[in-house]
Amino acid sequence: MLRFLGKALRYNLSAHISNAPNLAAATIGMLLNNFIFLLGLWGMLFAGKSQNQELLNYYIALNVLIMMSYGVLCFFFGGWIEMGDLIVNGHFESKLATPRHPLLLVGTHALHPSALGDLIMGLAGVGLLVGMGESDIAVRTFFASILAVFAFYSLFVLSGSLAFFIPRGNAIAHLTNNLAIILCSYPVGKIFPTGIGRILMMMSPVAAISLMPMRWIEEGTLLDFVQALAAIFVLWLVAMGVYRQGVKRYQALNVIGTQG
Amino acid sequence: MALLRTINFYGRYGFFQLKERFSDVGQSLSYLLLYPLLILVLTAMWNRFNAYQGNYTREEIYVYIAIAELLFLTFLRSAFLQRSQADFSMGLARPRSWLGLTFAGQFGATLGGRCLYVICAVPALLMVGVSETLVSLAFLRLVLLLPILGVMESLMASILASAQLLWQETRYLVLPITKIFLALGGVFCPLADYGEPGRSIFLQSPASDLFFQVGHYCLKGEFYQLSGTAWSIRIGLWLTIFGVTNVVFFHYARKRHQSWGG
Repeated sequence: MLRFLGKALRYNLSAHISNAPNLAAATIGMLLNNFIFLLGLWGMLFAGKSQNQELLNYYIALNVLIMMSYGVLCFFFGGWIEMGDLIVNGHFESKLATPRHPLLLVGTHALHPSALGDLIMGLAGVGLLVGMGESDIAVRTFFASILAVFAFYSLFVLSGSLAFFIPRGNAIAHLTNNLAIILCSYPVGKIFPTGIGRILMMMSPVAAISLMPMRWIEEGTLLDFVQALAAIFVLWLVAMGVYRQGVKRYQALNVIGTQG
Repeated sequence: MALLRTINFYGRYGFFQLKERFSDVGQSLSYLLLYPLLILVLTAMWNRFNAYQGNYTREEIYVYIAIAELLFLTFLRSAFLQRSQADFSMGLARPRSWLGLTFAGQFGATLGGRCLYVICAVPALLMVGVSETLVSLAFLRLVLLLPILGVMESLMASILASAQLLWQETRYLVLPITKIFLALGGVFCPLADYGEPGRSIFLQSPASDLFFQVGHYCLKGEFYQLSGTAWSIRIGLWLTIFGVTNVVFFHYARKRHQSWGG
């Protein structure tokens, strides 16, 4: 398995390394993009505002969590975020005809060079937290990012699997992914501490990706860790359920063509 | 007569691109869901962290975020920007200018996208309880400014389209450039609510003129710490700079471009 993953990564990387200026532009572009986004939110929330300073660590940890987990997943397994497109465009058929698990083949289908920018920014954020003397939060953020990788994976498989059921499901998958990423990028845990907003967030993938892991990062209790794990497990179960049902009813594009 | 025919041609091309924005069901669906959600989340964020400053009411912030997001979500975003490069080689062999086509197409696409968002925004704002008077006044003012904002955005998009012909890698810079306007332009919340020293610096940027000042004008009927004449002069200055940059980039793009098989 590891050999297969290593080979897949090497081949995907070689395609991008052969065009070094492109890889550098993608990585630097994403680094700049993230830096400017964080600068804007910092200007809005923290610059010259003493009453918001207690949230600074939360804000850094949240962005590290999202950037690292998204960066790792999309850099090493960039195919999952495109799963809806693969199904709609007929590339999923070839993944079913090999002894490897189709989802593994989907994951290793592509690599997003710009995600390297997210990953580097996330790691820099961990360093920043350590530098600020928040080593506990930095360590928990690092491990929570590993958990959030599984949450993002489940989200992408779940949204991508909608393409099995809905015509143009890839557009809905993109929309679902974007919605979740946007919501996770803002401190929704603090914006909606109670009420309907909180309930809606808890019922969405945002709970597993950022809300529950962030609570563990903040509080550091075993109960919060278990709750974060449980939220990710539930999201994974739902994703796998939808995926399996979808594969059962999946018809190859050439069959659809013959019927048409 | 020839000039009229040329204007008519570009106008029709721009109008075609405007209509094209209404034909994509997937994108329209994403407008309907994503846009109101962004308004709600960003307003809630302002309410939690910035409302205490008392510069705006919650109703005003709903409208401000709706306008700023509307402008931002259609800013250097359209797929037309990517597609325009494909026509470059053919554009050289046609009697019409590729730069003119890119500008007209981008203008139409941006205006179409913004019209779609306005159609989404008005009912969404009324549903969350913003008064009809405020919504109608603010959006009337916005509609007045949309053409000049469209010209500005199209000039910037044309520069990027020419730049991508020169250096393909610059396509990765479109995202950070839009983020500069997001972060420094006051799309998250009005720049008036930003803390110092950021506020004074950000207010001097073109991003502020295109997003924050427009949003503030739509709400209050006047620009923030700036007269209408001063804003017009600043916009005129940016138009000139972007116009000249366009000519320079297009000149080099035409000189250095190699089509397939060239």
